[in-house]
Amino acid sequence: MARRWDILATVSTPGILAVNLGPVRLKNPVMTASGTCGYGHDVQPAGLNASLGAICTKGLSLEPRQGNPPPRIWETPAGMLNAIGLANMGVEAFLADVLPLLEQAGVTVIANIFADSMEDFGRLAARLAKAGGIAALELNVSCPNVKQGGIHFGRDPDRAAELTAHVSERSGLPIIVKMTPEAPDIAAVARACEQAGACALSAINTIRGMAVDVERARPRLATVYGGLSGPALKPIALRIVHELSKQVSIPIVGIGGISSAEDALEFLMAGASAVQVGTATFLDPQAPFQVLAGLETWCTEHETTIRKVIGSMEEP
Amino acid sequence: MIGPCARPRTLITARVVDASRPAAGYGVIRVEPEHEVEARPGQFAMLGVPGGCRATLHRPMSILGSGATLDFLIREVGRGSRALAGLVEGDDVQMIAPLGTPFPAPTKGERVVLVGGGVGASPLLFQARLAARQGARPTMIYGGRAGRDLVLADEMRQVCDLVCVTEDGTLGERGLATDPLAAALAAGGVDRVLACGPLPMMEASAALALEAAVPCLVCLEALMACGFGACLGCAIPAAGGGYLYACSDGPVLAAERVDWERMRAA
Ligand SMILES: Cc1cc2nc3c(=O)[nH]c(=O)nc-3n(C[C@H](O)[C@H](O)[C@H](O)COP(=O)(O)OP(=O)(O)OC[C@H]3O[C@@H](n4cnc5c(N)ncnc54)[C@H](O)[C@@H]3O)c2cc1C
Ligand SMILES: Cc1cc2nc3c(=O)[nH]c(=O)nc-3n(C[C@H](O)[C@H](O)[C@H](O)COP(=O)(O)O)c2cc1C
Ligand code: FES
Repeated sequence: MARRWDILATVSTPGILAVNLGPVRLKNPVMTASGTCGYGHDVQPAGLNASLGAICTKGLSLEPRQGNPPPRIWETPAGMLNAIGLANMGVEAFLADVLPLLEQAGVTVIANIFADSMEDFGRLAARLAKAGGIAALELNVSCPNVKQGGIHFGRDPDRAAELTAHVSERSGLPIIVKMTPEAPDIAAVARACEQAGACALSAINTIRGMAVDVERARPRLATVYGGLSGPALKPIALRIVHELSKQVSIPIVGIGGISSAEDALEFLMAGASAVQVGTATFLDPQAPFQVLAGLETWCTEHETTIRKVIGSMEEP
Repeated sequence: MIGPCARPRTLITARVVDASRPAAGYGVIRVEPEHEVEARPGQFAMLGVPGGCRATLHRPMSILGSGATLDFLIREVGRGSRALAGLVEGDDVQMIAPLGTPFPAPTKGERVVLVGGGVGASPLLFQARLAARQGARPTMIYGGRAGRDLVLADEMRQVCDLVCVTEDGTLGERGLATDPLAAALAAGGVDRVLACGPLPMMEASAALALEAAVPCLVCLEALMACGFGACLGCAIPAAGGGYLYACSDGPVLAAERVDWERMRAA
């Protein structure tokens, strides 16, 4: 019987799939979304992940983090809430134990990073740059900035720009800023990051939501609020990607509820240059590979390339 | 933390070849996966919810049996388990399996006491069947609210010395599973306790075993989005701080690795 991963053998014409995120060349536009595919070697074999455009690691911090108490997840209509609390092994363990395996397997690695202060963001970025082997950094700017009294870097255009410039300078690596849909003026944040030197933007991160256990009159999540992900997010994510593509000229990575090639094509046509597959991986661990195979089939059947598909939606 | 993944993970399709209703609120299904699934007791499958939308998360269910067909005992507690318990012969179900860390293989001559409640009996029955193949006959203490909850009692009796305990006294002695466990531990000669069932039962069993200096393994439940280490949703508070993950470190864990107090708070 044909194993499902045999579909990878069909992805043999990279020319039609290749895209660029500024200086970052990707052999195809499909990546894993941060926090949904481990570190690139544990959820699927690194060798398999090497067939993707890139993997985006679980959010890394300077020190290991244990994360939030359970319950951390709850299913909601067409999606799920999570309050993992950015549990991760820390940058040193990642560099020592994981990165060599990814390099050996030929995986294109985008490190997703977060910190509580700009200085720590800079230190973390510099550490990853020094190690080598990282294609780009994706900044998770939706975490509270403790030193600044709990505001989010990603909500404020000036703070986001300052952070982008700082991390870029400290690391010399291409910077992708991950947009939070909770910014009061997301277009302003996007323009500020572009001006500060971001090579691309990724959109979107989760939107905070909640659920209540009515039998126990308690929140479903220990932290009360959690991030909504999955198909429920897709129309909002598409709208934001479309809006941002009119506001900036750097590439945009579309994220939010993508579980099929058709979903990915919607994002590409709306203006994204690449996509990330997140929650869909929980339902089918092959989801990113299915999306990739589907995109190749689609391009072949329509005698086109991904580069031509990007932004090809006709405006009414 | 989980290490490198050796083989590609896939979602597979399984055909329901038998389905029954052992008692109201329970379903037993036998499925034939598209290829053989070598499973061990304590391991589980993430089963796709029939009729779910494409965002409906799979539900974790303990695997009973290994090879060409797998059995599941499903208790209806909500939408997903109701749909799964309602599957009938000829239906297809999607699954990711086998997942998780199993119970250690039974060894010859070892005296094991199994403590199970409700659907927690399912991995224990699997373990007892493996032990039986080695000529061993473990003691199984099977607890529940009422006799109708001990749905695997007949199957258990074939491979175990079965002690039934119910809260209302409708089957076996009236009381809690921990009563006969305490007696068995006091009598001595127990090498290991394996427990799977409601949290208070596992915690109490673990405490009794610890007191008697008998190693105890528990098979825990947690809410799961993926089942294979990708979401970090299935956190189990670990003794000494931090978290273990039910789908990868567990679901079978040495009882002393669990922080029962924080577990109770969740
Ligand atoms: C490793 C493992 C093995 C399991 N094996 C079995 C088994 O063999 N047979 C069986 O019947 N059940 C088993 N369960 C529990 C089963 O997964 C849940 O009962 C099921 O997911 C509930 O889904 P639902 O849609 O019916 O409930 P929902 O509608 O989602 O929720 C209904 C209620 O059930 C509770 N619940 C939801 N998910 C879980 C969960 N994972 N664990 C405990 N409570 C939950 C909720 O808090 C809620 O109060 C196992 C769980 C795990 C983690
Ligand atoms: C369980 C879980 C953990 C996540 N962890 C991170 C993280 O560490 N860093 C980050 O930037 N985004 C994280 N995300 C957000 C995803 O990368 C993605 O932006 C979001 O889930 C929307 O995409 P999706 O609908 O395809 O999942 C996480 C999402 C989920 C569901
Ligand atoms: S269920 Fe996703 S990590 Fe355990």
